Amino acid sequence: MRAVDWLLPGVGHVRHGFRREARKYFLFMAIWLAIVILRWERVRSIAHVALGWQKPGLFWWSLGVAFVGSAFWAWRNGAWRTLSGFWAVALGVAFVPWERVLAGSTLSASWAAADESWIALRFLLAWPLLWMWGARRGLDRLLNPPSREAQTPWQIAMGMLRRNGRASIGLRVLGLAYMIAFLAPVLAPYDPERLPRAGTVLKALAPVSTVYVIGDTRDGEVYCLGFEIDPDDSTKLLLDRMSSTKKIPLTRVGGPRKGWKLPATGVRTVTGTRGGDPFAVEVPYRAETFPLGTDDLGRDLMSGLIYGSRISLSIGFVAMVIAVVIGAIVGTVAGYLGGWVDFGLMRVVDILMSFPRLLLLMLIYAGYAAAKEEVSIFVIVAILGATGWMGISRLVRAQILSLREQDFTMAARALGLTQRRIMFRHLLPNSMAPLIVDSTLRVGNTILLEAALSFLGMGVQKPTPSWGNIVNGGQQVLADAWWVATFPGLCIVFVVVSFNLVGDALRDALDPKLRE
Amino acid sequence: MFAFVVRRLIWGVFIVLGVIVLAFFAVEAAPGDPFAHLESPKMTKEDLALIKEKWGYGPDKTTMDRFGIYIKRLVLEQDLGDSIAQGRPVSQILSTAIPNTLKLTVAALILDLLLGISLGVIQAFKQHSWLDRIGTFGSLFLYSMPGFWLALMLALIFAVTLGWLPRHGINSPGESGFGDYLKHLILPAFTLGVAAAAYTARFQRSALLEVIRQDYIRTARAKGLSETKVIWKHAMKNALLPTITLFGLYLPFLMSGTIIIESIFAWPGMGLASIQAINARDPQVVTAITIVATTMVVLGSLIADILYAVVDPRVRLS
Repeated sequence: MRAVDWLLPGVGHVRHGFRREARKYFLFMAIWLAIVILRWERVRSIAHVALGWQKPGLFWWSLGVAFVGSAFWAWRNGAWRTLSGFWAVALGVAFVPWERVLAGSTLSASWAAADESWIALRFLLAWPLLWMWGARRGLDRLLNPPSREAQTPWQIAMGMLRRNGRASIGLRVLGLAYMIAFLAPVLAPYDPERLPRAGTVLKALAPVSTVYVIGDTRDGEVYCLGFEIDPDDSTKLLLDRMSSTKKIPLTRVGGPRKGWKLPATGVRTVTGTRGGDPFAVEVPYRAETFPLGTDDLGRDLMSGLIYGSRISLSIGFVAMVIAVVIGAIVGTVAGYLGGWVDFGLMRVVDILMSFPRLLLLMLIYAGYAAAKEEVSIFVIVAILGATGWMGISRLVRAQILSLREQDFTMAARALGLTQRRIMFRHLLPNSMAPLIVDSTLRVGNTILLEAALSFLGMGVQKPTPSWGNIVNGGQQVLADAWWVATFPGLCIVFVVVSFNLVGDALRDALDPKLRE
Repeated sequence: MFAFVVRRLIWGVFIVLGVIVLAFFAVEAAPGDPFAHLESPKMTKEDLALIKEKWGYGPDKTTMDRFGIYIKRLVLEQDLGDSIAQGRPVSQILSTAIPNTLKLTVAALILDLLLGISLGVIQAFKQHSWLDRIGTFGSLFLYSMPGFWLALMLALIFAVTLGWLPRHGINSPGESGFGDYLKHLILPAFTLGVAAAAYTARFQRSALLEVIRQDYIRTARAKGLSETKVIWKHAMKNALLPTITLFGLYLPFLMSGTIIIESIFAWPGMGLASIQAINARDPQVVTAITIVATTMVVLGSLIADILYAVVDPRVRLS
């Protein structure tokens, strides 16, 4: 193997056979650069929204905080050289006339809410740091391979997970999905909630169809030219827009019809008749292409999927955490205390488990929905978490029952530790492995449940897009527009399959019985 | 064994009672008005109050009172009450809905066992072959698939595009033959059964692989029996046993599945009825459906336990 001598920013000078890590490093760099360059307009707009340039005070404040923080770090670590390098770059960045660079935001405020933009921008900035750190660790591992004897059981398991091919496929898909979710405002081509103006687009557009838009779209509506022309209505709307005072009935619009190709932007002549007299108007237009078509309401499907990913991915995870916390506490208490506490808690679990879960969820949701006009996503997460802990509590209880008979529990008791300390510091951590496996497999299940609820109209409500409620819309137009129901379902399948792959691999890695 | 069954049955009654309480109060706690659909300009406030009074929703009645009346009617007269939204006895609604759901569930179970067991056996038989790999990956995809999406995709392919099977309902208008019914049954039953079959195949595969490693199989092979005979006469007898227990686990899964599948295929069973009842805030119907579903789940798991003990003498019920 040829020795490589590279200077990788953030990693250092590399003169070893570092091919694998370096390839990964360059791949990540290429993706990052591609996003920033190809979506520069959007990144600029998001930075504009996120940093609130109308209030530059925020910028100076964060610069000040960063200065104090980094100085403290340098003082603790004695890394003055790194500090001065960092500040040379930071001050250079600070004195770029950002106001001028970022001016001219093209985003409508309703779409890029400030916190969304914040998250996307932070992720975009943190990502290179993450990959530099990862490459550095990879290099470190390569130069000083950890000996098997010196590894903790957790490290051994993680090593097995890393070498498992299926798990790494799953982890990559999930990484990609979470990346898309974080960068949603950067990547989504259009506002996922933007509706076409009533009467202009009459049905869901097929994948890769182009619509020629007249006027600007800042007020959240699209004006379309020449698609599915209804000579009376749509054109009337069109002219209504161009000259708001005069209503000119048109009989014919000279716009692009199906199959027509026009330059992306330009001027088109619209002809018609006004009171029997023919006339022609010059109309500026630009093309909007919908890569996956539009949904039943005429919203861009791809943007809906990108924004919907945030709901599926976060709901599954957070609901799992809630369920694990409740289940672990109930299971530990029942298993350790035993007796009547155990009996009572397990009977409650029995009752809740024989209730069909979807019916239970629908009931709770119906009760909540009637009390409040709008059911927020947090409530759905809470409901999903609060109804999913029963299986976990049984699992944990079974673990605790065997653990509490072991000598280390006796030792803990002999030391006079409180019951709470024994339960949550000694017993629960020892039953972590099956809990982790179970909860990973549960995330996929929860995503499926949330999608089912949204599909039934009892979860995330339109117009907020979620994969489940987009499929619901697709059901209405199944006969005419197959793509609306198909693509979000595929997204769900890929994400859930990935979670299950990772869960299976975790089980293989964490279960010492399966290890040779 | 008898004592076990009696104990389980008594406990099952308690579970159902707990579920009744839960379901009743969950529906009652919902602030939606079950009488909202009755309001019309023709009806005066007094009329409405009179109707509410008649249904036990008078101003002097509390939820506890209604619960007492409900339980009394249920226990003494075996009466599930009347549906407010539909104005007819709940038992009448259920008597058409339950058979439909049962037919669907049984058809799904049969499909599940047929597909799942045969796929699992083939996979174990040809372990590490491409067939095994495809089967494993296929079942992973199938049980990671949202049921409603699978249903829509199958409907899209077989009902909308190809037009081989009907999309909605239980019978085509004007027809009532068995063949027509069967045609309507295929799509919902297949959707429901195929996801369960993915689990069954996975389970059956590992069960058979475990049995094959045992000594008596080696003995059978050493006797010079053909591989087919070893698998079907010796291994399968033991490998089928754990699959039977799955049956009990599937019932809650199928019960939840029917809610979605029935709403997609407009199959007039309990799932569809429960969605309608929840949307109409119809407490009696929701509670009744919950009771029926829970009873089925409890009975199903009991039957599975008994079956397991009957077919496998090594299992002792206690």
